[in-house]
Formats: sequence, structure tokens, C-alpha cells
Amino acid sequence: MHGHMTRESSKNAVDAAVMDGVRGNLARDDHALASVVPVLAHVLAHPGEPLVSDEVIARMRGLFTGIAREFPTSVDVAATDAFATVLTENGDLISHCYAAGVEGAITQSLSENHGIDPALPALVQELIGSKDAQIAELAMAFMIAQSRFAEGQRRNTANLFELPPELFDAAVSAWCAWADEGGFADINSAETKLRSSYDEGSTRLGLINGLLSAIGGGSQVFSEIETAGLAMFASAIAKDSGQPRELVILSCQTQQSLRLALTLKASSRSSEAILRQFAFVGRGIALPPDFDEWSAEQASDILAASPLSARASSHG
Amino acid sequence: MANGEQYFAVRGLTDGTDQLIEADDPLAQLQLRCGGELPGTVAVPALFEMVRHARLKSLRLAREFQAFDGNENVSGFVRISPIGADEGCELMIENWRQDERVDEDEQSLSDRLDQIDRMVADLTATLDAELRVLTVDTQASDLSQCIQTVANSPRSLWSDFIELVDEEYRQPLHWRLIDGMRARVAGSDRDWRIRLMPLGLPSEVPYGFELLLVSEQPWIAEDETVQSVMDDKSLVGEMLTRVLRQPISRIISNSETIRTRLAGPLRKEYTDYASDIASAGSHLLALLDDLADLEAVEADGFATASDEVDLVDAAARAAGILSVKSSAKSITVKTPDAKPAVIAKGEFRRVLQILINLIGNAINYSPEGSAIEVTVAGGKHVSVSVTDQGPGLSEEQQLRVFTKFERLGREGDGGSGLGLYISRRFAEAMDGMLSVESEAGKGASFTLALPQSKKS
Repeated sequence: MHGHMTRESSKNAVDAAVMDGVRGNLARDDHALASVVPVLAHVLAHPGEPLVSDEVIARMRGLFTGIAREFPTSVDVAATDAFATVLTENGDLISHCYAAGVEGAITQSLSENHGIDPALPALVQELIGSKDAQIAELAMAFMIAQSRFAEGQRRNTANLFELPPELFDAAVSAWCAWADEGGFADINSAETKLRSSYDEGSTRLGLINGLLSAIGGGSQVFSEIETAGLAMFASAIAKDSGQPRELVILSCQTQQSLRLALTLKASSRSSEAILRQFAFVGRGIALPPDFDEWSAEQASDILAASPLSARASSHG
Repeated sequence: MANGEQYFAVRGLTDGTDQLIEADDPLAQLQLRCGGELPGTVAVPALFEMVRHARLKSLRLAREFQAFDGNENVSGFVRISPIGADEGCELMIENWRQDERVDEDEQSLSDRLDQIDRMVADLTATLDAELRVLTVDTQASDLSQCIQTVANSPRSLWSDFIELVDEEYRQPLHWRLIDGMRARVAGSDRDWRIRLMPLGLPSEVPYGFELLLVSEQPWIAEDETVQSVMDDKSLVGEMLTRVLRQPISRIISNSETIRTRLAGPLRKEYTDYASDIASAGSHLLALLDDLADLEAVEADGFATASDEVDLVDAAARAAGILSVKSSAKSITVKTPDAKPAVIAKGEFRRVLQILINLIGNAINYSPEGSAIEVTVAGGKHVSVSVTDQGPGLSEEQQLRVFTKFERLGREGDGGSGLGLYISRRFAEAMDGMLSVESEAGKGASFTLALPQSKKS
């Protein structure tokens, strides 16, 4: 009787908060286990050219560390690594860095295989020489930002101040919370300084958008990878098709040619123009039957119905 | 504006509450055409989002934006720079373009019109393939008789309760002809338009229909507070208010529709006229309420209920009702803490009415940004006071302020000069009193004293 009571009371003595904590940890471990299978399945099914590889993961780590290095805590290497790990909790930031890595790799291969200059493709040269001072200035600034980007990608690093504003804000907020927990000093003044140093308009993507807007209706000139380069091509197509730029970049990978074809169709490009792009990115695929007859709306309806587009656009 | 006209750079300035306080001409015009004011909250939706985001996050943003000003598509590349902590933003818009709107194709235009009709319909029904009513729904009381007809005879034809105005047509008509016809409904004196839209794939025979009744004349919901005023046995309250209230309400609601450009873009002069009409209508309505109250208090045997009234609660409610008015002048109304309650003997509705009158006057005559304080006091006579920082009243004015039709020299602001007279009569009817303490230039303090409730 006595023994029974003891067992009973020790069972009751377990704190509800502890139980909750254990439950939470189990859920996290389950999630980790559950994500193993799809990744393995993907790697096994695409032996030659998987979307996820050691190289990709090493690159991503480099990018996150690069971003973490911009914060005042970077004097401490261990702290930088620790905060880089905190940053990987942000799914949107992972998507962005993954797309940036893919963009860097394709830009590199376009330069090696087709001689397209990573920073100074034909169109950018032309824009730098434009009579319109505003356009010339923007093009020059873009060229500089683009060479930094290409160089950063070669060295596997990324720049905090090049992030889109939502991700910049998320990274800065995450740092403030993390630094506060770690008891770092002067967080507020550091945050103010970081925020005031940021300008979307001078980020690489902001400069491209500025150029696209300045040139206005003539975004067709951006739709040839060979002349515009991947960076401008992707932004112009994203704008015309209503797809997120990151998805356009991802669809330029060899395995994603159907998505690229649909995206180009959704931005009102002819089948001929679409096939021309496959000489540079993606892979020659047989276009769907009567693809010429399709309207841009039909293509964009199919894209909009895909779960990936829906998720990406809900993330802005 | 000429088609495709360009400007070099357009500037604007917002403050810490996202009000556009300065703007170059094209931006100023866009702001007004989007229904905003200058100065006033940024009315261009795409810009508002960005300005707010940039200010809250202290981030410089640069993006393309698009807007529609009623006639033309406007686009540009906007650079937004926050000026400093808790301050506004500087806007610089490059590549400003205005282009005539490309007409929507017919299908999307008709989809949009259908959607608008769905939003404004006062009656919605679903019909089966033989046009028999399956479900019917309405919020408008003038259609309740027609709903009753349908409820009494299930599976009736739509034409059993809706009558076509154009009697030349003989039933049964093909459904395509019915869509868009004018109709009348028993029990309603409004003119109706029928929308009949097929359900199912366009290429096939419809398996049912969606029926809407849309009217150009809005349905005016009867206000509960109006009803309570009309309970009083008095000529103005019962007869005149009832007949005058509805047309005045209609004048106000229609001129509000014009003022807010709900029915489409309009030149500013006209929206200003509409705004004048709406405010004149509101004054007329307030005057009507005052006259009804006047007749009530002056009628023989006017009496108030003697219930328990928590003055703290009444003060909080009155301040809440007037919060829009006070915040428009940036006036803070400080009300007493919820506990302890101060219970008086009186009629809640009348106490509330007096407090609304006192606080409303205080808001009207106080300078912008000032404070109004409402305090309560216990004792044999419990009391509630409203103290403002307005111009105050001289001794001679204090003597006159409670007299009937006394305006203290103020003209043209729509007041009737009855508010304080009525309030004092209400106070006296509850065995209490309403008094004022003031000194010219030093604000005024009005105090309503009421007998203490014995139960408290």
C-alpha cells in the first residue's frame, strides 16, 4: 500500500511544464526525422544532379555566416557561428540564400560556358553609356553591386545589407533578441545604426528594379539572358509574370525547365523566345503541345495553382 | 493629364502618423483623387503600406508602386526615407507615369459588375432549374412581407413575389431576358432591379440560378435610439420626428455617398458641396432630437424613472460615444477609475444624455490638444463634473447659459441653444441639479448632482 502511494505521488510530482517541454522536444525531433526521407528520396532519385548536395549545404552555411558577420557581435568567432545557426531558423531566409546560391552558380556557369560577363553583360554596357543620366548612374551602381555579388558568391559569403527589407528586418530583429538573451551591451544603438545604414534602393535587387522602372514599358529588352544577364533577366521576368524572383531563379535550374517555360509564357514570351533561353539555362524540353496557342493567362493560372507559387507569394 | 506624361521627380513628406503633410502637385492630386485630404492620411493604398512599413521598421525602401486615380493608372519608382525615430518619411518618386487605363476585357468587367451587385443586393435567393425558390435571405425590413409570402408557399416561382414593372412581358420568360429587368415588390416602395445569374458551367444548361434584388435607393435601418426618443408622448417626438427623420437620414446618407466618392470619381468642389449638405443634415437631425426632448420635458407630468445609475459607468460610456469627435480635435477625455462605483438615483438614459451634452460642449469649445476631465464625488448628493480648458464663462454668461435658446452670441455652428436647458430640466426631474463654475479664460466646470441611491 505504502509503495503504491509513493509511485502514485512521484507520477503526480512531474511538473506540467516539464511535460510540455518534453513534448515540444519530441515534436522537434520528429520533424527532423520526417524531413530526412524526402531529402534522401530526392538525392537518390537524381543521382547526377540533385538540387540538394554537400556543395549546396556548404555554400548556404557560408552565406549565413557571412550575414552573421555583419553584426557587432562578429568580433567573437564562436558568437558569429552561434548566431548564424539562429538565422537558419528563418525559412524565408533559407529560401532566399538558396536562390542566391543558385543564382551565383548559374551566373558562374553562364560566364564559363557562354562568355556572358557576370557583372557587365551587353545590355548593362549599353545602359551605362545611356544619354539619360539617371539610367547611366543606376546601371553603373548596378554593375558594381553585381560584381560584389558575383565575387561574394565565389567566396561563399553574403551581405546583410543586400537582403530584401523584410529579411533584413527579420535578421536584425532576430539578432536583437538573441543578443539580448546573451547579455550583450548597446543593442539599441547598434540596431539604430544597422537600420539607418540600410537602403533598399542601393541593394542589387533594388537597383535592378530602379532600372526596370526607369526603362519602363521596354522590359522586353531584358528578356534575353544572353544580352541582359541572369540577374536582370530574372527580375524582368518576375515582374512580367507576377512570380516571385526567387522562383524564377530556381526555375532556371536544369531540372525545372517546365516551370521556366510556363513562367516565360506567363510573361507573354513567344515559344521561339522561350526555346532560345534554353540554350543558356535549363534544358531543352519538349514544350507542351500547341504551346504557341496558350495565352499568358492560361500559363499564369497553372503557375498560380501550384502550391509552391502560392506559398512563395504569401511570403511576399 | 496627357497620356503617358512624365515628371522628373515628385516629392512628398509624411509625419509620424502617416499623414501626408506636403506633396508636389502630381502626388497631391493623386492623394485627393484617391479620396484623401492634404494634409491627411496617405490615401494611395500602395504608398500607405510602404510609408507605414518604412516608418515602423526605420528602413529606407525603394520600390515600384501602382495606383488608380479613377481615370488613369499611375506608376512610379518610390524611394522612402524615414526622417528619424517616431517621425515621418520623405518620399521621392521617380519615373512618374500616368497612362489611360487599359479597358478590362468584357468578361472581367461583367464579373466585377456581378460582384458589385452581390455586395449591394438587399435580397439574395437561390432558384432551381425551373426558377422555383429554394432559399431566400434579406436584411431589409421592407422586404420581410415578400419573404413571408415565399415562406408560406414553399417551392413557389420567383414571379409569385416579384412583379415586373414592364407588364408587356408575359410569363414565362427565358431567364436571359429576366436578368436586368425593373421590378416591384409588395410591401416595399423602392424600385428594384433583378439580377438572375445561372449556376453551373457556362456551356451547359444551368442547374440553378442566383437571384438578386438590387435597388438604387438605400434601405435606411431604423435607429434604436430614435425609437426610444419616439416613445415619449409628444407631438414632435411621435409625429414630426417620425416623418422628418427618414428624409433627413436619406439626405445625409446620400450626400455621404457623394462626398466619399463611393459612386465614382468627382471634382473636389462637388464633394465639398456634398460635405456641406451632409453636415447641414446632421445639424437638422440634432435639432429635431432637441425639439423632441424639449417637448418631452415641458409636457405636463414629465417624470423620470428612479433606478440605480452608476455615474462612473455613465461617464465612461459618454466619453466612449464621443471618442471619435474628441480624437478629431486631439482632445483627451479623462474619466474616473471604474472602482469604486458611485451610485445615484435617476434614469440611466437621461444621465447619459446629460453627460453626452456636457462632454460634447466641452469638446466643441475647447482648444485642440487640450484635456477634459470627468470626476465623480460621493456624499449625500453624489455628483459628476466635467471640467474643460476652454475659454470659460463670465459671471453674467453663467446666469444665462441654462436658458432656453441661449446661444451666448454664438451663431452659425448649428447648435440649437437647447442642450443645457434640456439637461438642467432632466436633472431637476430627477431631483438633482446642474450647475456651472467658471471664470472667463480659465475653463469651465459643469456639475450634475443627483440624490444618492439608498441601496448603495
